Amino acid sequence: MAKFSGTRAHVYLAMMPVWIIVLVALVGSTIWTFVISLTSSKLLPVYKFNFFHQYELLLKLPAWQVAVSNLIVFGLLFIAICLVFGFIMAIMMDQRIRGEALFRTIFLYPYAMSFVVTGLVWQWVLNPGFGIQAAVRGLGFETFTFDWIVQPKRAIYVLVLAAVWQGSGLVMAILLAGLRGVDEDLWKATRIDGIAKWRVYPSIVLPIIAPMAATATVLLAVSVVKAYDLVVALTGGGPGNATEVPAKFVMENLFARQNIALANAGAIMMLVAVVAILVPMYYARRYSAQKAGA
Amino acid sequence: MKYLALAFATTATTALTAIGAHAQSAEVVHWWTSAAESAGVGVIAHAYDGLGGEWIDQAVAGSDAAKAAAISRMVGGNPPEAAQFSLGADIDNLVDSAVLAPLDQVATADHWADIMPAAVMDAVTRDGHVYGVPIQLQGTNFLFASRDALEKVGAEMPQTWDAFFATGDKLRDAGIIPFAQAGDRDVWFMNTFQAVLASVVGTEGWNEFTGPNGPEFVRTEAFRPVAEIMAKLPSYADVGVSGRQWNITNQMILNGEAGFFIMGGWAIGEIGAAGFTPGEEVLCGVGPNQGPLVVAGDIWAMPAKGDGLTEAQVKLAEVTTSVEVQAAFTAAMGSLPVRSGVDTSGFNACAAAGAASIAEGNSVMALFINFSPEKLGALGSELKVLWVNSDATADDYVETIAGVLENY
Repeated sequence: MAKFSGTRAHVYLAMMPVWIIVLVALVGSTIWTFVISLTSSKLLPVYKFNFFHQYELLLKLPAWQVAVSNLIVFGLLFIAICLVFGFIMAIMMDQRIRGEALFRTIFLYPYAMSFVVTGLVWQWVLNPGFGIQAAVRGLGFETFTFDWIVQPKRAIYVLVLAAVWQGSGLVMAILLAGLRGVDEDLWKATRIDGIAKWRVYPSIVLPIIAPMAATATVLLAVSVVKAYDLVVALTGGGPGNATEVPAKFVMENLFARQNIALANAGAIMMLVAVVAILVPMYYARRYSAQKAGA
Repeated sequence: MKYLALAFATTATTALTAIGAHAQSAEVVHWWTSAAESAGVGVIAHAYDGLGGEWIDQAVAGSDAAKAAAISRMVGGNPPEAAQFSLGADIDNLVDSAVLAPLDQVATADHWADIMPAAVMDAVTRDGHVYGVPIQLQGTNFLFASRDALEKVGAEMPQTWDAFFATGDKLRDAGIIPFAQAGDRDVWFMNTFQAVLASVVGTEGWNEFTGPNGPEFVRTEAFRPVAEIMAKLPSYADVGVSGRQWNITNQMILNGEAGFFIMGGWAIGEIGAAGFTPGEEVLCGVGPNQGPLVVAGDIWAMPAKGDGLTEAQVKLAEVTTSVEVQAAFTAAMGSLPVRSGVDTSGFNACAAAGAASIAEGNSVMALFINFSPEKLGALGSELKVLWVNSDATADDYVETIAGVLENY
């Protein structure tokens, strides 16, 4: 950078539009959201403040509690399964198999679809009336039952299934890039030492690609917190409230229930959750980078 | 590049002339997107264009999304000329925030108070000012039945809930889904509840339910059968309720897959649009026992643009409530006119049954009229949760509903 210090002003000038957008659209909106969450606004913003009253209401609301606990179940399962599947797929792709490009495209393809499409496709596939269940029954297995999507206790796993189908390809792509970055000499060394391949991956390769895995985890975690479109398209939050999530709660209160102060309180709570995930991760990575540097 | 620049220039010029030439263009946000609905809204658009105006259609699928779009534009300072809202408490917050223009000049000039039912005028009036153009009324509690399905089990259209469930048992034995319930939105569970409530407690009970002593009323014996029927209904429906749209559910009646269906009058338009005759292949009545018709409706909310109403808004309000438009519009939608003097002889059997109920005074205003969107939303989502809970008893219904009435 030092070499270009003379042109710094240009750099800042070029960055100005980005900074303006970030400040106005992101920071500004976040502050406004927070301010409204402290008021008693219903349909339109009114600035009658009652401070943390909405948060008090929100945390006591059974609907919010259900949404949060659903999100935790969904998030943990989704991230864990995606990472495991993605890692296994990446390892399999790393074996210099024939037609790698084809498989990579196939595995990554679901990620190119919007969550709405994913949700609709899986809604049809899993619908007991005309999906897998009906198809297998049509083949003569009259008692075959696969109706998780309409069972209140199972529907959340359907959500995980659809989300994993979409997300694990991305994890594979990221981790595969990491695997390709692993020094070939390391592999040669392990071969000379006679270490089995299945031991090398978890013990030697995984720590090397840990930053990649962390990146994938952050991307997945963020998509968990903002999960909305998938839920709307796949289950609509049902059956009952079995798959309600915070983002859907916020959207519903924002317009349909005309309660924007409560909705914004929910949105701020979601932001707090994201920050709580990202900040420790950021410091952990900086700490390990410093350690590596020293 | 040259072509591109030319294209820009042309567009810019066209845009400028458009602003100059069509001072009477009206942007209208609404959620009428199904076949019968777009035919209906086309009637108003055509009539408006015929008066020299220019109708700019802003159809948004789904009432929640359409209202969200309209509200966002009002907040953003670029409101449409008119936006569809539900008759009743839906506009309370908009009126409180002084976003809407009072329509008093049109209401007075066209004598709305004389030609519209008092309950409708009450529902659009706040502090003596009129804030909504009534577009149509809808009965929300029609009981539809597939004639094919009923004939298969040798049953008539039931006149009581007992007969309804008895026929339901027969239908189930014949491999037909007794009751089709839509479930993609909470409001459909609300709708079924309203139908049961009206048929059991009648007009007086309805007023008690919506009145200040609602929670106490819910705990009385008079309300008890409502809870019992609500607790029993889910076992007569199929497993595919969750996430199913109302028009898909409507299809189940049309192809004889299901026996009964409770839905608003908008289904009548859809049945007609699918090539069936309401009252022939699809039977209908108000609830099973000809109880009061639960009336909901739609209005144009007209956001204030500058001072008072614009000329375009006045024209749209007049066109919408005119006899000719009301006749053609309600015929296409399967709905009921908001004013007197409209010839209803062309109505099909189902719509006529609704019109008769209103004429006889055997009608109540839907819960949407009195309950805030927040209260409605809470009630709808509680009912949805109870629906999928196969262990839910009548007591659960009583306590949950009373709880919502107390807390909101």
